[in-house]
Amino acid sequence: MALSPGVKRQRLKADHSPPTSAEVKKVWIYKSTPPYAFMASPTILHAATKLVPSNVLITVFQVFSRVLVVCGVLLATPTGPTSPGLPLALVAWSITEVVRYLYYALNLLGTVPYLLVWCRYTLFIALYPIGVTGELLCLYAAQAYVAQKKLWSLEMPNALNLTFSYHYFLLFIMFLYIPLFPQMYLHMFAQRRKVITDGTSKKVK
Amino acid sequence: MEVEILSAQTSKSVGVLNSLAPTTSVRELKKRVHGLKKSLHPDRQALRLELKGRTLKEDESLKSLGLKSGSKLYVKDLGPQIGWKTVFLVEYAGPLLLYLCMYRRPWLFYGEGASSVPIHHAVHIAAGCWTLHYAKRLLETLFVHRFSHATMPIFNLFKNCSYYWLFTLYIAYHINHPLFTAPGSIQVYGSLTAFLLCELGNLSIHIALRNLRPPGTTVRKMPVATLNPFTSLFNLVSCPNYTYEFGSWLAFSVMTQCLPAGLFALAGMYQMTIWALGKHRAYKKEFLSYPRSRKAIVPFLL
Repeated sequence: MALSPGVKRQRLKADHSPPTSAEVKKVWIYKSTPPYAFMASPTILHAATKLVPSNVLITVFQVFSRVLVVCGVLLATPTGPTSPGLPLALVAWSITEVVRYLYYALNLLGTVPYLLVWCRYTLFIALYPIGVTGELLCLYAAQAYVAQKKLWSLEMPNALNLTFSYHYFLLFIMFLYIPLFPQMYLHMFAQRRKVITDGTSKKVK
Repeated sequence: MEVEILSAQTSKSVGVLNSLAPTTSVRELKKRVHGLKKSLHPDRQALRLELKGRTLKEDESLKSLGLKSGSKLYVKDLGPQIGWKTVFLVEYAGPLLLYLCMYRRPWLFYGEGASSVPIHHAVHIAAGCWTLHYAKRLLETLFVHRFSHATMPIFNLFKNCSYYWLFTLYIAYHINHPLFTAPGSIQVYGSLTAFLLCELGNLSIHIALRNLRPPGTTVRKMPVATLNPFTSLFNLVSCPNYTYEFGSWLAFSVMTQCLPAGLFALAGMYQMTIWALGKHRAYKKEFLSYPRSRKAIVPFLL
């Protein structure tokens, strides 16, 4: 019987039928995105040691927000991955990272084709807002669940007289996007103006 | 003599100052530059010999800098300034008022009925210590401190107030919470004693530093221990005021056994360590007979 893709089939014992798309998504999230997200952390070290020409603080924010979304939202809650923000964020991140690391690698070798420079300093114009929208949608989908389950939160009384509300923390992070996104977006435009002028590219130091 | 003033931001000429005596001080030059450009109030100016050179001191003169007629000077706009006294008064008044508001357990933060829950005596003591600390800071700002610069960038007002006010709310929320658990009496009274001693120590150092500098001057003298026993910490560190300050907050954190207070103590210590290392380096460069055994902020260690 032919069923349309994505429809959950009846699973019988020793059923070797190929996994549904929902199951693929789940495996992908649990198995591959965490290592990918953590592998982004050396990026900070590369920027700090000037191995690549990137601003350290900006890189810290990027890596931190990504690790938070992957671990703190997608892995930690069942509602986060169901958000339409997930495919948005994944597509934006993937394209950006492929371009960026190809650029860094070729930059170290000293030969970066203009098309790649153009991609690096132009695609962000669309990908950055798309990625941020995806992240915010995932955060929003997660925070309601966190509030209800009091996930990763600590209440009083306790020996250290400390409280922590992961729910408020997520809301605070979402709020931080308001001042930080324009700054980071404009920073990218400033970088673009320095590198791409009248269809030619200046050497990036 | 004639000197041309160039903008450090654009490298373009702002104007030419003429009829200058060689004894003209940097302070007077700034007033003349203000005359060239109304928006450049003297406190907003940093004059330099080179585009990225060091900022010239107010009491240096054209002669002491070796400048001749036709020389160029760069002026950097430091941005809108605000009086340091103003900043200190605002940033310290906030913690005083906000903590005392939270002390009354407003329903907005704790829900209805919170204010009728019994209060442990340690919470009263903590409120007393907090009030003492910030009242002392306000009084020192008004009567004790003497600074090299009259102003600081206005952005500092928002940055500093955020730091103090938000941390106050964070700490006060936990200590004044109806579910706050106080530690035992020995811990409370022991740390209270330590807190009071450190407050006295910090005050002693501030007074000793004030007495190093005659009023109206920006003289720099090497700090040494005085008759006040609290100042003997100068024998071990360059900035004992910061050492005592950390001691106060450490004692406060132990007294309340409250991690948020501990985080505040650590944050302050981090910033003060950076300042102390800078001051220590400056003292060593400025005073050739500076004692080698002195550390910056932690005796024997740092």
